[in-house]
Amino acid sequence: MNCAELSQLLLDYFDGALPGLIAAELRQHAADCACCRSLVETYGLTVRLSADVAQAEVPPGVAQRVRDAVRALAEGQ
Amino acid sequence: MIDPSLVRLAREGDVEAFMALVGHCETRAYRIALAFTRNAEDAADILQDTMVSALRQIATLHDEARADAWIYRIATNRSLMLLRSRRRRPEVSMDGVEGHFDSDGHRDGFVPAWPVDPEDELERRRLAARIAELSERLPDSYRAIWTLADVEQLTMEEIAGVLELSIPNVKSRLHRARLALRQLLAGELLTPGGVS
Repeated sequence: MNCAELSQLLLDYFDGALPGLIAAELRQHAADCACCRSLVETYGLTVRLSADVAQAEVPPGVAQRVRDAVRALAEGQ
Repeated sequence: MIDPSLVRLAREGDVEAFMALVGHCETRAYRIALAFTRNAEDAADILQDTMVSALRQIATLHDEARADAWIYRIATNRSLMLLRSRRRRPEVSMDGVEGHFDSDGHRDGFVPAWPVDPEDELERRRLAARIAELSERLPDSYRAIWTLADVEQLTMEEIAGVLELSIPNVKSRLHRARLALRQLLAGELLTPGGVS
């Protein structure tokens, strides 16, 4: 595996969609290549940080407002 | 997945069935709107607009089993419409985001490691907030896919359904969006005083 091939496989690697042998080849290339090792680590960290982006709940007042608007429209139809 | 018989009832005008559909989809629709707008008032308006539009258009919904994807598509489109109506930060260029390679597939240039501790929860939270801000610089189609995939954790199949794209197209854009965000964050982390 070379650097270009590794780069193309990163999405499937982090989604757990790579066959085991290819994933092992990717890890081996990353172990031997400092640039690809950094890329794998920082790409993975980017994915992990994205999953940490704050998750909000719908505020109760907003949920009620939405239901009121939907009901008003339904009753007017 | 939502019960198709409930959606059928909603299509036939059963208000309580439609309310159940609202209850099923509102959290994710709100989070999608919030991820795009990063503003709670805008997200609330988009959520209301989404559900009102869904009620108006529910007769046009053909695939009852995918009513949730249909609602998320409305929320995504409403969010993108709002963003387009506002002035935005300059978009990052997606050209060359994969990097450059020689004829043997070896990378040209150096990829530095990041001076961060991924196990430090406070630092991770700070960087996650920064990555959400940096996502505003992605072109809309990339930002939409990144939001649905990496923030909202929808599957590739679900995203393809919401955005009406092929799965290879979704995967290609998600990969490029991740690379662009990685590059933007690297630019800040490797600049003294970059991320505050």
